[in-house]
Amino acid sequence: MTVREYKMLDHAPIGACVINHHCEVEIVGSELKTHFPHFNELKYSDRIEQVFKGGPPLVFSSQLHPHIIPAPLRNGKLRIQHTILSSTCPESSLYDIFNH
Amino acid sequence: MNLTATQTDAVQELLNIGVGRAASMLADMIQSPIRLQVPFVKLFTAKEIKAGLEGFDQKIKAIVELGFRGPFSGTAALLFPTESASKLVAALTGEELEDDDLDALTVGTLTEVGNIVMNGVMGSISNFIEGHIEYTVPTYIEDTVESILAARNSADEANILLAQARFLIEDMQLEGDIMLVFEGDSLNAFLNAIELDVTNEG
Repeated sequence: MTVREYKMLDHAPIGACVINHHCEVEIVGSELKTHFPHFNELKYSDRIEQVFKGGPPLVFSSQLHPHIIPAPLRNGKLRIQHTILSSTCPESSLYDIFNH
Repeated sequence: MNLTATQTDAVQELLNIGVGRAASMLADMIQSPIRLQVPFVKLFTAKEIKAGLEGFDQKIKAIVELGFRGPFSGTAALLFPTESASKLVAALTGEELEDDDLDALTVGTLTEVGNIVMNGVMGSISNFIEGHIEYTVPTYIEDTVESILAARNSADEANILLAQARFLIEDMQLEGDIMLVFEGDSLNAFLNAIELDVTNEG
């Protein structure tokens, strides 16, 4: 990684999920939309597509999108998430990152 | 520097296209009709705004800003009086408004709204510009415009396009401002691109 690419870690206070242009989760090689079908909705897919086209990072606020990637706590309640989607490689737009 | 009538029309149309896309996205998100309009645009210099000229008030605003760098560089910002900002979030989320103070939850929502509006605007603008633009992650601040320009070391000569943004949600009308700060010679690069497009279409 270059120093410039390391800057993305400034926006990863808790966790990160790396996806490619087809919304595949790189770690397990399966598509994010398969696991979380709400990403097929226009309010997500349209906005995410713009980032891959070189647009600005996205903010998904906890009030409007509290459980963008559902993550239960030990007591079974879902973790409240504030999520930022930004390009990790602006020139190629190959990979993007979700932070919570 | 003043905008010609053609430039003003072109800029206003660009911004209206951008906020139109943003309104459509917001309406889809909250499942309720929203209209967003840009009734006018005006060009200032940072010096004029710092000096409080042209009736630009020096009250503290709720501001979501997005930096950009590329063929043209600067900052895009959505500004609201803080009471309007909390009313906007309440209207979008349908939650009761307890007071005008902005808590972390409200700030997050407002940052997303600003993000959507500015992405629409920058997306509309970038269609006219060749070359890649890099963006910062949107950030929220509460301050006066004067202080923000000073903190960003904006030169007095920096050009600032100020556009009124009017949100129409159900029976409510809320007004804020879209501010585009162009550093260096960026405004000319932007205007040249628009002029070329106007010429090509003409």
